[in-house]
Amino acid sequence: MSMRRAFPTILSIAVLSAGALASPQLSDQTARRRAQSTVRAHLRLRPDQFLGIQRDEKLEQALASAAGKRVEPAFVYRVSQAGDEFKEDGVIHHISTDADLAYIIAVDSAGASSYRIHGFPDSVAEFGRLITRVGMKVVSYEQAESVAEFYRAVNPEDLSLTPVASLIELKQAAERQCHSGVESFDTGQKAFADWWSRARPAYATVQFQQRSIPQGIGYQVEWIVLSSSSRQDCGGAPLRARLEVRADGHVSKVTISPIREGP
Amino acid sequence: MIDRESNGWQVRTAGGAVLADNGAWHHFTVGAAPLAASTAGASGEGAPDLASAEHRSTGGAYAAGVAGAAGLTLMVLLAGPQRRRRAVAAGVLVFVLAPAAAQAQATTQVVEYYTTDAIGSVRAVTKRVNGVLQVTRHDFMPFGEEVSPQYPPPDKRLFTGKERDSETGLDYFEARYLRASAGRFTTVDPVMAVKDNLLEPQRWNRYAYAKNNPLAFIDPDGRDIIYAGNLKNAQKVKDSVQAILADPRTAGNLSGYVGPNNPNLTIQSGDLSAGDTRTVNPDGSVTTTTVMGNTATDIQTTSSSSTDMNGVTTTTGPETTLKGATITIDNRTGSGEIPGVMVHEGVHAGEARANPAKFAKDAAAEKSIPNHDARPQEQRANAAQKTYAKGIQDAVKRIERDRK
Repeated sequence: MSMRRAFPTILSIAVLSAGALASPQLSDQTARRRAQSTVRAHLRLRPDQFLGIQRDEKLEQALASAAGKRVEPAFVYRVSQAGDEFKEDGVIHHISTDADLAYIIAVDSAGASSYRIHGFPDSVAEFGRLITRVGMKVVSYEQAESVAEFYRAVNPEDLSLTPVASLIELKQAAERQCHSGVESFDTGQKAFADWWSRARPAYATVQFQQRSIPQGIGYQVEWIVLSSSSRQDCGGAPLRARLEVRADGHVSKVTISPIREGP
Repeated sequence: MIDRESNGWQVRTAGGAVLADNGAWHHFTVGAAPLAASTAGASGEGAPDLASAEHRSTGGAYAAGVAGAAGLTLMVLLAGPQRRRRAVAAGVLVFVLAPAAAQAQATTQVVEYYTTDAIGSVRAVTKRVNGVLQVTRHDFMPFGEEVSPQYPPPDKRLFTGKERDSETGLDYFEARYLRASAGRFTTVDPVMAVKDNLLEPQRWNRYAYAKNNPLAFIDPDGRDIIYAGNLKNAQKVKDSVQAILADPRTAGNLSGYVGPNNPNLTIQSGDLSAGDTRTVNPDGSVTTTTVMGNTATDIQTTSSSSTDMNGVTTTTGPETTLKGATITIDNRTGSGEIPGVMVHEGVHAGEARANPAKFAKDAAAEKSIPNHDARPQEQRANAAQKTYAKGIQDAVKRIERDRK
C-alpha cells in the first residue's frame, strides 16, 4: 500500500480513536459518586454526613431482562443514610429509627443522565424517563411480566407489591401479620386461627399465579398481594394488583382491587 | 459620622449635630446634603433585616459597608443595649455616613486575619490598613480575662472566638453571657441536666463555665445541643427541648447530650418523604402515613489487639459507644406538632445514649418487623409521646408566654 492510499486509512483510524476517547465510559466509581451526589443534594446533607451506597446488580440484570438486551443505563445503586461505615479501628453503625430512607438511582455509563427511580417525589416520572432511555419493545407476555417484575423491584410508588403466589404463601404471610404487634404468641395465634377458618374456604379457589392478558397495544399483568390487617381480619385480605405494560415498555400506575372471592 | 457613646450609639453630622440615637428606627437618605434623618416609622415596619447589610470595625473607627445609591432611603435601628448586642453578635451594624464622607469611606475595606489557639481564642489579628501591616495581640487568663486589655477593644471576637461586649465586658455565648473576670456565666444554664450533673460535682454549680476546667473544655454556646442552620420553627424546637429537659419525666432522654464530655445531638429539618409508609387496606385503598421525625444515631464499635514480646496477644473490646445523634424534623411537620415529635424522637435518642450496644442490636433485630409501629422501640416512643406530649406542649406555651 502506497503512502498516498494509506494516509486516509490512518487518518480515519485516528479520528475514530479520538472520537472514542471523547466519550469515555463512566467507571463504577464515578457513577457511584454521581448517584451519591444526587441523593446528597436532595437531602441537603453536610459533606461529613454518612451516605451508604451499594451497587444492585440484580436490578441491573432485571432491567436488561425486561428489555431483552444489554441496556443503558448500566449502573443501578441503592443509596441510604443507614448502613455500616468501616474504619481502621472499628465500624460505625448508622441507624435510623423512624424512617428507612432508601433511594434507587440508575446512572448512564455514558455519563449523560441519572434516573431517580425510587424514594423521590418524582420517581414514577423518572421511571418513565428511564424506560424511554432504554428503548424497550415488549413483544411477548413473558417480557411484559419481566417489566412488571422490574417495576415491583424498583417500586417507584413505594407500595407493598410482593406477590403472593399460592394459598400456602398467603397463609404464611397472614400468620406473620397476625403475630405482628400483639403482646403474646397465644393472642396472635388465636386471631390467626379465627382468620384462617374463614379465609381458607373463601380463598381456596383463587388463582394466585401471575398472569398477563393482551390488552390494547400491550399487556395487563396481574398478581395477588396481601393487604394490611384490619380490626376484624388480622391476616388482611388478598387483593388483585394490575399493571398495564405498553408495547414501548411504559407502564401505568398499579391499581389494586379486592378479588371477587371472599368470606 | 458614627460616634460611640457610653450608653449607646449615635449618628452625627460632620458638624456634630446628633441625627439619631439608640432606641428607635431612623430613616436616612443617601445623597441628600446634609444627611436627612427622621424618627418617623419608629415601629420599624418595613425596616430591612439588619443582617442584610454589613460594616467592619477598623480599630475604633467605622467604615460604612452601606454605600447606597443617591436617593436610596435606608432605615436603621439604633436600639437599646440588648438589641444592639444581638446585632453585634451577628456581626452587623447598619449605618450611613454623611454623603461625601460616606462615599469616600465606604470604599475602604480591611481584611482581618484571625489567628486562634487550641480552644479557639483569638490570639492575634493581622490586617493591613492604608498599606501598613498591623498586628493586635491578645492574651487570656484561663477563664477568658484578657491580660493587658485595650479599651475600647480593637477586636470583637476574643475568648474562644466569642464576641466580647465592649461596654459590659461580657462574652456573648449565645444562650448566656460569661463574666470572664469571675469565671462564671451571669445566668444559670438553661439546660437542666439533673441526672448527669449529679455524677459530676463540677457541674452542680449551674453558673460554672466548662466544668471549671477551661483549659480542657470549651462551651460552644452555653449548652450542648446543636440546632442546624436549616431548622424550621427553630424557636419552637428550642422551647420544646427546654421543656423536655425541665420535666423530670422526660429530661433523662436528652440530658445525656448536654455537657462537654457527651456526644453531640444535632437537630435539623429535612425531607423524610422517602420514609412515608403506604399501606394497602383490605378494600384496596391506600393509606399514606407521613413521617414527621427521625432519629439517626452513629454507634461505633471498636476493638483492638496487641501482641507483647512473648507473643501473647491481648484483645480489648469490642467497645460500643455513641458518637452522636441527629434528629431530623420533616419539612411538612407543623409548628404545633413539634413538641410531640420532639418527645418521640427524644425517646429514641435517650435509648441510644443510655445503652448504645443494646439500641443497635434491638434496631437491627426489629427491622424484620414490617409494621413499623409494631416495633418495640417505636412502641415505647409512641407511648411516651402519648403520655407526655400534652404536658410538654403546655410547657412550651408557658415558655412562649414568658418570653413575650
